[in-house]
Amino acid sequence: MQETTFLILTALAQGPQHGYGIIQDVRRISGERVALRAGTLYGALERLDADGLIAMDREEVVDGRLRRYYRLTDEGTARLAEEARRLQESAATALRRLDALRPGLAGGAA
Amino acid sequence: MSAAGGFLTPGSPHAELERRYRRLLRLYPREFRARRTDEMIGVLMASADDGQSRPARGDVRDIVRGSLLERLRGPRGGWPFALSAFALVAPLFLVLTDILQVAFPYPESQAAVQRRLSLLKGRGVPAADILPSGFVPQHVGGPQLLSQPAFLILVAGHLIVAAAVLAGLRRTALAALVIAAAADYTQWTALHVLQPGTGTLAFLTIAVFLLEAIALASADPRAARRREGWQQVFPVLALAAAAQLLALSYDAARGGDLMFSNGGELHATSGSPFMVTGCVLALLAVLLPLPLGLGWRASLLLAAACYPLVILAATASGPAFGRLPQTLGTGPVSAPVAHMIILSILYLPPLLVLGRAVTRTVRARRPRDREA
Repeated sequence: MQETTFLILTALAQGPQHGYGIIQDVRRISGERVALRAGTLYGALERLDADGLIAMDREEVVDGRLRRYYRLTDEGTARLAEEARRLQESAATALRRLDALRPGLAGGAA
Repeated sequence: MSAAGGFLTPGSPHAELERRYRRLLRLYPREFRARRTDEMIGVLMASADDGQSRPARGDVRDIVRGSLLERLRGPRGGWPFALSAFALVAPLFLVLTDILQVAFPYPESQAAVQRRLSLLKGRGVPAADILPSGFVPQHVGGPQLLSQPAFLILVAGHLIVAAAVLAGLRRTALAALVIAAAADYTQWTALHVLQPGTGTLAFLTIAVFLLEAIALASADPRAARRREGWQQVFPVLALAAAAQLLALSYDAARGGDLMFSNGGELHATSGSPFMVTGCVLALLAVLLPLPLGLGWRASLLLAAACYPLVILAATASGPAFGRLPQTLGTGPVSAPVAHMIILSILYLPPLLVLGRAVTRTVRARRPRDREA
């Protein structure tokens, strides 16, 4: 799973969000490192929707503009959980090895 | 900016910005635009700075990249849609090639007649068994085809396949396809040698019959009867023209130069210009789905359909296929094995592409079946 996909699914794990909300949340989650733009975001939303990982929750019109809210599907939730566990295990392995290589470098984690 | 973007004053910086963003979003395929434009405009305008009147460079790059990816990805539905669309428009290819044969007649060259007679002699066919027409140059294509029962049966078969596909009658279409293929095969083997024109085209387009039959057996053409499915007509038009030109070049390669009338006089023309133009049109047919937003799957299926046609026409007189049966037949490999090798080279790649398309279509259908 690509990082962008992982971050979008993580943003939706908090509850249904609209496009601009997802962009702001992804920026927060990634520590200001990932700034999604509209083209990338909607390309990813198309794919995730087609794969059944997200679904439209509701539509609103705010200040004359259409806002479409998206939510995680059950399949999306399962895939995110699976990916989070995989990343956690990989990170734990990396930290353990770093700790063995240079004690203290990994911050004593793992 | 999170202002009330929907009520911007015409001519204001943000109204100008929205107009420019909307123009930029036209790069996306129509189907995507219909679903996403308003939403994306909302996000783009919300991200814009106060007083900004031109799209940010980063957004322009992102939209151009995103639109190209969407065109490459194609319409929603993945392989099931691509296969359905192929099943929907492939019969049109067969009908178009029939029309093109009637529209572009040419007489056979004397060299082609000599080659046919020497082939028949080589196969031990007694001269008494050869029809009188076998000794004189034949008129290939043109309105005279309409008086030939075999051609009319062939056209009727193609039309029934097309009508059955349009009506969503898959079994009828499949049955008609088998009958049409048998009619094509009869044309191909008439007089025991390859006949120019209709026979050549039937020989070159066997892959389309084969792929259409597999597509019909595994996907419902009705599922593709939306705008994106019908847009495949344009590459199919190019493919039919390519098939006609490649058949001409194949005839020229095997039977000598082609004869064309120029101001009442007949002039011999080499098949090379037809081969080059045919290959260019075939390439156009394969690439056209991308700017049309039909995606790489449509391109791949069209490439599978025209691959044997291009390879056969391009190598008819070359060392690859023209001499391979003879070379292998007299060498350590027997003629049947040599023919198997040639058939594998010609038809295995398209069948592998179709195999993948069918597998993905069946796999995509399974979850829905389980839910049902």
